[in-house]
This record gives sequence, structure tokens and C-alpha cells, in this order.
Amino acid sequence: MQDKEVRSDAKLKNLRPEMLETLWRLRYPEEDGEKLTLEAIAVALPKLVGFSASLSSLSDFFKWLRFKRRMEASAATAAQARLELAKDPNLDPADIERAAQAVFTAEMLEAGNVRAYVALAKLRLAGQQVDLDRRRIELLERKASQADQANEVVNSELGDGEARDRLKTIFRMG
Amino acid sequence: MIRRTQQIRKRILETLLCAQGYAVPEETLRSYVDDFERPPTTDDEWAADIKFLSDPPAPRMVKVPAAMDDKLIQWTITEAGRALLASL
Repeated sequence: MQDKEVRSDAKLKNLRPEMLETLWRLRYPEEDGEKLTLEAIAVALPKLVGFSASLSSLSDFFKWLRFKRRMEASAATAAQARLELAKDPNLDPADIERAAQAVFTAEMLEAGNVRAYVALAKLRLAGQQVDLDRRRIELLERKASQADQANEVVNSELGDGEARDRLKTIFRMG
Repeated sequence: MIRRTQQIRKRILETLLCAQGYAVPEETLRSYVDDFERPPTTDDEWAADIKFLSDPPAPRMVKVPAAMDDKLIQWTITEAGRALLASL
């Protein structure tokens, strides 16, 4: 009996993706659908797939299928992230792989792993901080360059009017 | 007991196989296995099965470092793991 159950369990897991989707929708229908009980699915099963399974095998199977679907959804999100990241010429393939894996991990841990999310948030914050620092440095460099140029104008022999115009241009005024 | 050990190892490899090449965090792996096994795995049982599956020379699964958290343990299945799963 146990061997028979193991076999039906394995057979269920090896069904084609379309049949897995059909069985999933019987148990977890879209909005208005009628949700079937495990007993009802067990009765319908031989007609659908050509073999029968015990209630415990079916219960295990649906648990497995829920998990498999969650994995597939996480992998799809990671694949999407990989495509987006591939558009950035500054990232090498290893960076992209690492980022895709991080997305997959975060998706898998959605059910309550706070530590991973905190780590991910810190990573994002670190990224934002780097971006902020970069913008701050660019601003400082621009100001330093403007100061140098203004200094040159002030110390030049340009007339008042021309010097004022040059300064306006340097500081992008008017 | 042998059947339970085999069942736990099968569930671990089965989970890793579903991950489509990505590494799975160990706690996700264990929570999945414990969802099926009654009673849930003990720490000793879990450590022994992880060791069995990851021991050289032909580990059935290997650790993958997590970029976002170096304390996070993640596993991915190897060819030897796929072969073992097919035989279980």
C-alpha cells in the first residue's frame, strides 16, 4: 500500500505542466470558480490522468505543487530582474547573476524572514548612499570649477560689463 | 527510520530541483521538509542529512554564498544530487 502511494505521488509530480495547472485550478480556482475538495479531486482523478491516488498522496501533492509554484514565481521574478540588469553596460555577467540570485532569495524568504529583508534593505541603502555621495562630489567639483573660473575672470583685465557677463555664464545666471 | 531518512533527503533534493538552478536558503529548505515530515526534523537529524548530502567527494548539493547576507546559508543541487534523487 505504501509503495502504491509512493508511486502515485511520483506520477502526480511528473504530470505535464498543463495537467498540473488543471489540477491546481480545481483545488484553487480563479475568483468565481468552484473549489473542489480533495475527495472530489480523488474521484475525478482517474478520468483526468488515468490513475488514482489516495487522499494523503493528493494532500502531499498539493503542498508540493504550492511550493513548486512559489519557486517558479520567484525564478520568474529573478529572470525579469536579470533582463533588466543586463541593460546596464556597467554590470558584468557575474554581478547580474549575483543580483538575480539575491532577488530569488528575497522572494523565497518573503514568508517572514526579517533578517534577509533587513540585509537587502541595508544593501539598497548602501547603494543609495553611494549614489548620494557621488552626486555630492559632482556638486562640489562643479562648484570648485566655477570658483576657479570666476577667480580667473576677477583677476583678468576684462572690462566690468564683460566680466559680469562671463560670471553670469559661469554661474548660469540670467 | 531508514525510510524517514531517505524521505527527508528526497524532499531536500526535490526542493532544490524545483529552484531552476537558483540556490535555496537553508531555512526555506527546512521549513518545506518540515511541512511534510511528522514529527518535524530534529536539529541532529537535519545536520546529519545536510552533511550526508553535501559531503565530498561527490556532494549532492553545494553551498552558495549569499551576496546580501554572509550569514545566510544557501544550497544548490549538483549532478550527483539529481542522480541520487532519480534513484530515490
